[in-house]
Amino acid sequence: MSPIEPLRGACVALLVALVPPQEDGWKRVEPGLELVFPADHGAHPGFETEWWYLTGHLEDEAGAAFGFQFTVFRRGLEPGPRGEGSELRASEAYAGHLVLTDVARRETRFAERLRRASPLARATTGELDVRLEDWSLHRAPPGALSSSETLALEAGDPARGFAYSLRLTPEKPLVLHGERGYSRKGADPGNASAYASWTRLAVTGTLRLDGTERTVRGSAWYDHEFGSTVLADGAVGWDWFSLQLADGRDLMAFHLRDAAGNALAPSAGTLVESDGSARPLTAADFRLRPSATWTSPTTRAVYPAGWTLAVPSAGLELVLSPLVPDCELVSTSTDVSYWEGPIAVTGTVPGRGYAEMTGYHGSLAGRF
Amino acid sequence: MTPATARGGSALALPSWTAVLGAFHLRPRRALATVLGVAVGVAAVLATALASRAAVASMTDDVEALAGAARLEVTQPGGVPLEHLARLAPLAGELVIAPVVEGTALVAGSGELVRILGVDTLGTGEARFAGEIDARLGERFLRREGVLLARPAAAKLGLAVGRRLALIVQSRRVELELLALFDPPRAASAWERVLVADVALAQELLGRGEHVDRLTLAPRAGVPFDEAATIARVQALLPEGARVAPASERRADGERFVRSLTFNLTALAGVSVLVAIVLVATTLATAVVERRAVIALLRSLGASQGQLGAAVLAESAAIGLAGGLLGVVLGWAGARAIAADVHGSFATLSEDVLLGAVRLEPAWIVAGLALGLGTALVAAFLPLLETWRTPPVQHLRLAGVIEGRSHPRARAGVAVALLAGAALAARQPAVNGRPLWALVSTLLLLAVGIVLARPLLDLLARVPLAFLGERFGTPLRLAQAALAAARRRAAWAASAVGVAVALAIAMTTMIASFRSSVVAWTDQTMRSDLYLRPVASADGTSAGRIGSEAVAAVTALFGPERVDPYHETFASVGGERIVLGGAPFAVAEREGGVPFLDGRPFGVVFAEARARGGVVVNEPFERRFGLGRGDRVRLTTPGGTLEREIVGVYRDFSGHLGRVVLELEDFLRVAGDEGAESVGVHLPPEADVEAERARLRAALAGRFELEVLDAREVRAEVLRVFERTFAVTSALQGISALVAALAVVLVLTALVRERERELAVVRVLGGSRAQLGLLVAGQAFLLGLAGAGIGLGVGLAAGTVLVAVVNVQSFGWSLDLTVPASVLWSAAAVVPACLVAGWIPAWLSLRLQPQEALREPD
Repeated sequence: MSPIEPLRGACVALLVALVPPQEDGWKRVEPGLELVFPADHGAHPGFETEWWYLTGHLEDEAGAAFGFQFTVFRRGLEPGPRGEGSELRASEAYAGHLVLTDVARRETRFAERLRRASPLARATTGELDVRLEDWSLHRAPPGALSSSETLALEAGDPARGFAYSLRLTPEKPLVLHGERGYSRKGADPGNASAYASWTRLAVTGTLRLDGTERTVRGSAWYDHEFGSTVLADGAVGWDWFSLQLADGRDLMAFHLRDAAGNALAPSAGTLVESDGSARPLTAADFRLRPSATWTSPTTRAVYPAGWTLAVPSAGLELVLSPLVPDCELVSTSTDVSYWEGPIAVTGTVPGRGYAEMTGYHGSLAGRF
Repeated sequence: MTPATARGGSALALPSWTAVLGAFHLRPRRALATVLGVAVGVAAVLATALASRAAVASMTDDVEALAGAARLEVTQPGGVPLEHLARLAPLAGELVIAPVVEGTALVAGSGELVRILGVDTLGTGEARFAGEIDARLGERFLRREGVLLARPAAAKLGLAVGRRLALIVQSRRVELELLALFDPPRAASAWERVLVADVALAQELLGRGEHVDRLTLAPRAGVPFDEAATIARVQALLPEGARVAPASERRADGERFVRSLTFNLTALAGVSVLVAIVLVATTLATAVVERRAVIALLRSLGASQGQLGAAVLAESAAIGLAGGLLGVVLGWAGARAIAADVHGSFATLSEDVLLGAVRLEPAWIVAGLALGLGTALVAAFLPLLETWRTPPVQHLRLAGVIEGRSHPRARAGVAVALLAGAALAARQPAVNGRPLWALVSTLLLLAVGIVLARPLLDLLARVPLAFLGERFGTPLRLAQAALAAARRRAAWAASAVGVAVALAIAMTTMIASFRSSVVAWTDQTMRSDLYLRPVASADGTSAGRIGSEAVAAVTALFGPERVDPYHETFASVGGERIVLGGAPFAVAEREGGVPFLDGRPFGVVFAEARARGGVVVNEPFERRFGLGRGDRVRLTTPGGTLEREIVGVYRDFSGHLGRVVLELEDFLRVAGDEGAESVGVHLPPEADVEAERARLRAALAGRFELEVLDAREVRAEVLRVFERTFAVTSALQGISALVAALAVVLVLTALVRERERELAVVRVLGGSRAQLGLLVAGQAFLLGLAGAGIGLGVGLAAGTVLVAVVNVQSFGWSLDLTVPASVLWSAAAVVPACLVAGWIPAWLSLRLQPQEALREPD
């Protein structure tokens, strides 16, 4: 018997390769959405798709820089309330992506997990507590341990030789994107997601890399998004950016792209001031232009490898450059290949951030 | 040169070669018969072993084939709660943890048993079933809309993709669509009876509630795997009762589970080999005696004992190999013929045993040949003695042989010693759950019979027969003389008959004791007027359970005080697996249930159990754990650990694992409701059973697939299962009898040939053909008589060992010893049977031309 590659198999392509979302059953995110926290940090089983996302930058005591990404996707497979029957019913599936980017070694390590909802994969409703096999992300409210709320992230992958244990403390209030969290993604008002972020979290913790444990600190960005039909008609993918600027401001901006590479109308963003106040940006408020390309040796997909991002109303003319060229993640659990990695920000205000580019290796149309 | 010296001369030059050829050239029919004898013995053992293996393989080989990449398995009596998944989460980076559910279902219509294998294909690397699955089919599979089948299984069931398969599982009829086929990974045969379903579907179909049958643990790619260290870490995360072990260990568990039966069946088949040894020994010894003149001459010419011995051994070896080869062929055919019966025997132990295909692997061919060779070589002992005892000077004697006297005192002494040994062996405990010493005891008893055969024949040879007059008396006296002259070989022939008779009598006694005990037990236990059980397969094995809704429907119809559901699961005591039962004690107290060993009425015991919150246990449990009335038993159940007082020990023939029965409410609390094994309905005395049965059937119709039996049918059913269990035993008994009959024919034929001259003299002196026939028949009669005498004595003793020791040690069942009258009949029937067997030599003797026989050799 040989060890197995756990994420290869008959049903693994299932998570996003499902037939297009049904008309019946799933709830839609509608205008007038009212999010209540901490309850809405938890899972929303009535909606088909949901994810919790952490990206950030870490430095160890010797100054070595790392990018990290932790994502758990929840995908509903059966709409409606859980009926009677087995607890193991594949009513929803969880996929996890765990990434460590070693900037100095220009190396990206990527691990995945996929499970049906079960005691090994669950997201609590009413509180942020997501567990997927040996990975977990949960929120501890302000209390005895800390005066402010903190997030705890524990995740690793023995086969790829890395693990991290991080405490993340929000430095700004939670930001609700769009209209109080209602983030429109298409012409149909139901074509939207609920979207909230902590745009700046202070990070402390440990990173274990190839058997060596090091103390790390840094900053992170947290996203939580859910909905049922998220992607606009005609969209094949998106380019998404989260930037933390040296002047204390944070910026989220995304372009939904059509097949020709043009930005679609629902493209949007949010500018967060250093005091935490946030202002939504529409597609007209910012300009995003790719400035270089990088061809993946694995998938032969051609990704942008540099951008200019201008937000005239905020006085920002930014140049965005990947810290490591190869941050392509070829995922079997979600059957999606995408580029996600740390970027450096230069221009009117320096800073750092994360970029995510999807739809360059096969369209995502009908899958989100 | 005389023909004798021609044969002898070349024998001297090439002793073994000519001796071998001699056997086949000189007496081809006898040689064939000897080969056949060996073949039948080998075939009996091989057929039993192969058929047992076919049945057991479904429990054991399949374990490995179905385990896939899993290296370790977590199990727990009564099932693994899903919360254990969360406990093991910290190790998920190194191990792929997957829940598995496995159970049996019945194919509606054909009544064939199939295994449902419930797997989690999502993220657990189950690429084995990928086959033709695309995302859409994968989604339907996850939505529990259908199942997957290995290609050979689909062919066997005649099912095409897209068609629906009707199953009866947990007393319900379900239809499942065949979504896709896959190519069976590795051992294809293991997948012939397997439906692959999503784990949740299997859990729902099989009524597993909130637990699964096991968690499999497979090392993740790229992570080093240290089995012992991983077991320790996994075990540390699990609570008491859960157990982690290598996946291969479940195979060993399966084998342990059925080993008593396998052992007993194979031992029984081994008796045929014993009879075959006796047969070959007698035949070869006879051949040696026939060739005394040649051997004597060879010795005179300087042939060493070694050379002569080698010749005998070579001849034995040739017979053994030929017999072994034929035995392999016959055994394979026999295994196919008795596979269903053997499966029936195993199925009474576990419904998890599916009937597999009988496969003849090269190792079995080698084993068959080795057994044949071994049989013949062991049997060569007697002819070797005969050869070495032939003095050179005897070559001048033309007359036949008079064998030396037996030494009755010495033999009596040996017999007493053997008897003492047998008695001592019978008192020894089981070895590893196998009644090894009881087998030794039985063999020693058979040896007693063999030792006593010669004095017995001597005795018979000296019985005065003059009173029978000339017409009968003379031929019988001649028969006595002939037997006395060849008493050594005659004794072996009588032993062969004796061993076969003993076996028959021992088995008859055991089966009769068993049957009468089971009948009495059934009468006491099956007191319900109506009895529900899940639909049984074509060969009588029940599949699944009676779901709670069906039990509720019955209860609604008759009221809880009249309905007697029996639930069952596995639990453990001190780490050993036992059966945990649950029954409503209030109903049992009123309506009866089980007979208690201490003779107390069931009403008293169950009242006490209710009052004190106690449990009752069965006899195999008491024997296995040494815990009886008044003791406290600590049970690890699916729902936690319980400690209860034992208030009674009841007789039970329905299992040998050991059973603890709890009050039903207590049981459901710790084991959950996964359906009842059976449900009894006690009707009021004045009720019309048929009318009530019709009412019950009507209430169940269209909703549940259940069989409703009345008391008479249940009793008949129990006996049918009983007969099925012993069908193989009877077949094996028949085979031994066949070999014994062959022995009689061969020895008598040899005796006739040896005595050709005497018989010719009798003819010349005016003996009629009838008297001549009577002479030969007389020998057969005396042999039969001796065999019957030996068989009766040894058989009764061996039967007692089987009843009092083998059954208790194998299954924990004590039986009341019942010696049926048929024992006497089967012993008596041996005499006419031997007369029939003597017909061939008698016919040969009548064909003799006196002139030919009396002609002086050149």
